[in-house]
Amino acid sequence: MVDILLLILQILGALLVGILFGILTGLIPGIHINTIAIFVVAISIYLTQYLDPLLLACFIASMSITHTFLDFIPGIFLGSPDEDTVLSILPGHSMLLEGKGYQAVRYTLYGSLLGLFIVLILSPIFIWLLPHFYIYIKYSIFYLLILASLYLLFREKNKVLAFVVFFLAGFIGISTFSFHLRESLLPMLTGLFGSSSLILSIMKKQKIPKQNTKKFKLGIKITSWLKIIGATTLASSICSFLPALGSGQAAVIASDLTKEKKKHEFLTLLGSINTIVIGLSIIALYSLNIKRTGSAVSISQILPEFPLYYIFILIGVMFVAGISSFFLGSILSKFISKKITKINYKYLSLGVLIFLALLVLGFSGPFGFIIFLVSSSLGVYTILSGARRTLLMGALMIPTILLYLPL
Amino acid sequence: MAKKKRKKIKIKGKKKIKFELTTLQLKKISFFLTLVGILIIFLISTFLGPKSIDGCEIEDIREGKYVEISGIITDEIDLAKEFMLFKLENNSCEVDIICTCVRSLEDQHVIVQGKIQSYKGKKQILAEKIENG
Repeated sequence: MVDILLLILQILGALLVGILFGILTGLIPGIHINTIAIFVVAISIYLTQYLDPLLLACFIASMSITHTFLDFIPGIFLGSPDEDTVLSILPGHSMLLEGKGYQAVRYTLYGSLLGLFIVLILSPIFIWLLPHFYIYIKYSIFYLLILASLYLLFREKNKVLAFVVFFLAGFIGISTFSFHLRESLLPMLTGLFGSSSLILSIMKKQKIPKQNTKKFKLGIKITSWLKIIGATTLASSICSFLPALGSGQAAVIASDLTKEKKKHEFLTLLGSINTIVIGLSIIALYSLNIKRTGSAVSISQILPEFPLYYIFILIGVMFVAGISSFFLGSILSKFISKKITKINYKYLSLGVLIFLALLVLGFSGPFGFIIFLVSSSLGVYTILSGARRTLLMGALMIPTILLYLPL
Repeated sequence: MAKKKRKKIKIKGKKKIKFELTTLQLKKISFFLTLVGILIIFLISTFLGPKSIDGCEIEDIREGKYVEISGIITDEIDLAKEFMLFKLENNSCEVDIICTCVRSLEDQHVIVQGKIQSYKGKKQILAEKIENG
């Protein structure tokens, strides 16, 4: 009995520390959960001498879910998203310029909360049903990725531009992986999605109007909720176990399914997808032994064995972390909304850009920095040419397609 | 009045150089930089291979570093399905090579490229490429 109580207390401790780190990774652009998770894996050989590996897994699960609730904040307020929140830039930033940045974040928070409940509902299917069908899916990954790529390309109005952006991103991806850098994804994704929008916001000399933090009305009809739930469940489930397809692709598929054009409903949709993809990837690690996200990879490397009750504990941890992050996100976004107008946005963006460049240089070295510069150029070109930024995910999709190429 | 005059002189004295790019110019520049950059990355990755290491210095190399080592395979063990451990001798030092493959390489001279990783406090190489050489 005492042992169980002690374990519960330890799990609560891991959950709290995970939330704290999730706040850091969520709010600071460029610090990804993968960076922290990889560091934890690296020092796990020492940590597991004092701590149960399950606690480290709880820490990673808690941090990852908290991150999915909060990572829209820098995307919306600073225009510095990661690959999971990149689609929030347009609707989020335009709401910020209307003085509704706080509301934009709240919509993503409600979406993430919805996503958390969808993860709970889908978990029995992922644990008990999906393993029976996965063998068929596994052998068709190559074709599914080709289909997903073609879908992304042919839905674009300017198909030539779409092909150019997608394949240039693919070239950057292939070259980046051939470098065998430490943290090879950091310079590439930071350049493609983060620094490019920062460069343009510095050049545009944008001024942020006073933000309205008083009223928040959800204002989403039940029919829209049902459409969001249906589309995100389908798209996120597929993207949570297929390699190289992440939240960005899930959002494109889901938004096409719902034909959602309203900004606030689109942000809710994005919020839910982000949380579902991370949540289900951790469950898929247990049921299918696949490592689709950095968090899943890290948990797989930490846990020497993965009994069924571990996954129930991890689902519980994710649920508590998610509920806490919902309230934390509301408080933090209100605070930031009040302060953002007092800060010189140009210098803030410049500061974040310099910080990201130093981070890349520190983590991935001079070659990583070259990749960062090239990726930033392509990111800037994509935004200015009007192509969808999800096409930049060719940087991950093309190398993965080549990896699964049946020979 | 005097204040106003001083202000005017200040503005007159300031040499403002305006260097503003149009969207089209910036688009062209970013496209050009992307193409040149990809070419540079491609050339660097082609001509800069992984660092060749000595079997005895493996413990001093940081985890995650991509390296190349050559030597003779002295032993091979099947750890699991499609998962093998090779013992490679280089410069009288033995290095563990982990490979997700099914191959018989005993007594052969090979060149291995892979990432350094740690297992139970001992460094080993997770092979990505094994060639006879």
